[in-house]
Amino acid sequence: MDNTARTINVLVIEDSEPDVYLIREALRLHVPNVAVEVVEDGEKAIRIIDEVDRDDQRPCPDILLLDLHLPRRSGEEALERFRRSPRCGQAPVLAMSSSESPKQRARAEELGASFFRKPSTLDEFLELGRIVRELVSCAPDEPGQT
Amino acid sequence: MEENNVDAPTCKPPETPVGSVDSLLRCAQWAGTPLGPRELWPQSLKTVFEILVSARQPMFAWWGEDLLQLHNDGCRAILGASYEAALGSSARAYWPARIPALEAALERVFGGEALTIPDVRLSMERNRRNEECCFDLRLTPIWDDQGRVGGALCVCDERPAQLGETRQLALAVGHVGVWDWDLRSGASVWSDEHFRALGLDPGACEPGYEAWASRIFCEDRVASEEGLRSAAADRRDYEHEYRVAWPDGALHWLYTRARFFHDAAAEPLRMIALTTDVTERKQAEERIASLNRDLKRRVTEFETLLEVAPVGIALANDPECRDITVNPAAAEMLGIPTVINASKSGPQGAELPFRVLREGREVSPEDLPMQQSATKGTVLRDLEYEVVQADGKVVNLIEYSAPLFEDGKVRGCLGVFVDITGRKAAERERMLLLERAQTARRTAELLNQAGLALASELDWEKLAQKITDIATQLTRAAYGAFFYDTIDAAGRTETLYTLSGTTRGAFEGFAIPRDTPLFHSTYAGQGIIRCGDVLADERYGKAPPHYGLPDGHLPVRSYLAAPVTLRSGETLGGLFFGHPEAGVFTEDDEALVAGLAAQAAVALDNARLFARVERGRQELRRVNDELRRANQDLEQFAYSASHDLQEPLRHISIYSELLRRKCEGRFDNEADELMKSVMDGARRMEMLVRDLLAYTQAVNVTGAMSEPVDAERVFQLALSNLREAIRENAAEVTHDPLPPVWAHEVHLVQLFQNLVGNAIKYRRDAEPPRVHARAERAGAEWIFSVRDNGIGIERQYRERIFGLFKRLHGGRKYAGTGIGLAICQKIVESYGGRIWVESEIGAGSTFFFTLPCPGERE
Repeated sequence: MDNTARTINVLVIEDSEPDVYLIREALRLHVPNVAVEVVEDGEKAIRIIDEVDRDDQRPCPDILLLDLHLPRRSGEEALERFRRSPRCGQAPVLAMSSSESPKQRARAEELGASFFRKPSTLDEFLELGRIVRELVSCAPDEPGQT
Repeated sequence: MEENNVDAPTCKPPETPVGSVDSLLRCAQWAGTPLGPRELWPQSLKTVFEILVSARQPMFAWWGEDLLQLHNDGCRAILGASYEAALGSSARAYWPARIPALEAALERVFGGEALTIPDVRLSMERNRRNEECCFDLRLTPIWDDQGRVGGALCVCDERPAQLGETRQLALAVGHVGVWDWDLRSGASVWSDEHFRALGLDPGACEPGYEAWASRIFCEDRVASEEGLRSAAADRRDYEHEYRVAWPDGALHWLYTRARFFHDAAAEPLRMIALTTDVTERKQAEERIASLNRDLKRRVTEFETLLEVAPVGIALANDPECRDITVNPAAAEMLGIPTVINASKSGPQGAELPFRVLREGREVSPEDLPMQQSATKGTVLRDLEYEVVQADGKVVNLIEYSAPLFEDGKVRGCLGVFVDITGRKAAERERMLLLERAQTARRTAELLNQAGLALASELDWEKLAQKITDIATQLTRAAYGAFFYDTIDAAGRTETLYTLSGTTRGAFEGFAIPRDTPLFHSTYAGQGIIRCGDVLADERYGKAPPHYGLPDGHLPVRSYLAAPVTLRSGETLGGLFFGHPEAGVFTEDDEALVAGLAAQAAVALDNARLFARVERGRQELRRVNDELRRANQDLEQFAYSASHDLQEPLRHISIYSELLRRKCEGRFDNEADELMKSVMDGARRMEMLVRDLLAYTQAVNVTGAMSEPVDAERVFQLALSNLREAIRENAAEVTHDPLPPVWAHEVHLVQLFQNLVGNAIKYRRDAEPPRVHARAERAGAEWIFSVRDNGIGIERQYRERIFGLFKRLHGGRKYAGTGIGLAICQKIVESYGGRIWVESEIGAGSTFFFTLPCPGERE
């Protein structure tokens, strides 16, 4: 499959606007043909996945970026729903947090996700794009598209 | 005849002895007899009559054909009772029956012949017994006036007795020697036994007086001969014991009994002597005599013993012990004279002036040991009695009694008494001492127990109650009280009390005991008061308004009071004890209460101290809790603050950079500088926040440590984290071997990293940093040290440097947030260790910290 030809759909659940901007910059810099869809909470994410599962024509997310510091438990509920989705349940998930603590890493592992600590320099932050590209390229293809 | 006999003395001539045959003959009323009146007798008969009367030898005259009998006094023994009746009677009724040969002989005599009938045995009464004697009867015709034989004269000649064969044999068997000695002829006949008794063979010599006397042992001879002579002269039987020397040299004792036979004229005619060898008997007698002497000596000894022995001895010679004799010692024990009957069961037993007690009760007479022993026939031992004498003196006796037997029956009893009064007294004394020692020990034990009980009680009121209860119990007081002063929260003195043995109701109505004469010395702490009877004490009843016990107060006679004085000298109160009976409290009780009061004082002192300490402790705990809460709040705040600050700081940094890049070339120099300041500030703020977070979480490591961590390895870990700085500064870091310690690895890494990092950072420009780490054992902990050759720290800052955000230098030369050492201190202190620094300006500093040794923790 030609990765460059295909559109990479990225679903981002993030409520921090500055970070959303930086995530978009990083993806745009490193992932070709990327299509980013951002929601600010879990409920909205769940609605999208519902739509994806209902409508085969609706593009399916190739990766889910999830901020661990979402208010309430909406992030986790969204992840659970994402994992139950027949179309995108096998897609990689990247959990993001601004604090580097073993607790946060452990939680990400628990959710079956990779972990990204939001760094405090621009160059480091932009590395997020490269990580996403690697995760997507390693991931198995969506069953519907093979 | 009877009447005549009665009258006879009046008619008899005075020269004739009264009652003799002569008198009879002379007085007889011959006229009334066949012989007729004496005047008419033929002359020859008259002559014969005269011969008869004058002769002593027994003679009979038989006259006429009827043999009318006349006899003289010598015949009395032969005729016996018929002596008078036979006179003038016919002899035919008496004689021919006894002498068969007499009729024939008389016929010849009446024929004119004189003849002798030999060996006529006649029984004679001699020495008041009948004895068979042998006579020769010489018969002579008595011619009458007409020349015819008118009668016969019979003269009885007694012959020496001829022993019968049987008698001889009997004597031989009995080893009785016989000597028959005819004194008129001098002829002697000795039986074989007589020879043998003299140590001679039968017939070895001519028997006779000379032969006999010569055999007698020289020492006995005179007495023997003299005795025989005098016996013959006095007409007595001879009886004598004497010794005879046998040819073999042995001395034999002989016993000879001899009788002399006399004629009518009292001339000795014959002697019969019987001799027995009594050597054996004499020897036996000798032995008996010796035994007797021995016995007598022993009896004497025994009697002396009884007299002087300090042991009382009593003897009863009857099975009921109704008569008891005692020796002087026994008499003294009983308080009676020796001469009286000491038996309580005797006739005068009730009047004896002593009483016998056993175990305090009087013993009845039949139950006394001797009586019991005699009744039951058993030995009684070791019975202890008390004898109360008339004057009340008491003697303790131990008594033994044993029955005395004779032929299997109890015949009496022997009692032995030992005076154990002294021993008893000593025993009582000993018991008393023992009891006192036991009491002392018990007191000490009780005090000890009380002390323990008191020491473990720190509650004031409970303690006071305990003291009161224990003291009341130990002194056997009916009731006890403890009045003591306390100071209440408002600082006022209040007198409280506890009671034992009664209820509070019994004291409710009365005022607290005050400083009355009786109570004064107790409240003044002047010592213990003990009264056998407080009512008789001069201090009692002096204070108004009651002047003594108030109405309704519990009755008190025995009184005991002890002050309770603290170590400070302050008298806190008093222990008071009472009993309704007098004389209850002893010296021991006093000592006990003194000890208890001292214990109580110490315990109360302790309780006071404890109360004070407890108050302080509680205060401390409260403050501690508050501090901990504040600390936790602070840390929570620090954590939240630093965490929440991180997010916007990160955005400031990143967006400043982004802005700088986006506007590259569109900013002028000034704008670039300003932008750079924004970014520096953000970075610096970020470092502070990160370190602050690290500080708040420094000891926030959970989970128990399962094993010590190897400091050696951890040190290497820290150095690898610092390798950039080490390389840049060309630092030389060395260390001695480091031990395993109880700490979390992350903490130890942080410790070494911060300290070594500081040592490199605060270097002098002149030389490269040299850092050395080592550890030294000090008791239960290790002292780690990190020494450097850096700039050093001035004395006044050596404490401050461990404070949060405390920095000595500007960030330009020595970058840092001032949190590293604060974190170090926090970690070390979380393990109970200390951290400090020693330093010399311009020469270097040494940081020390301590950690517990493995195995010493917990």
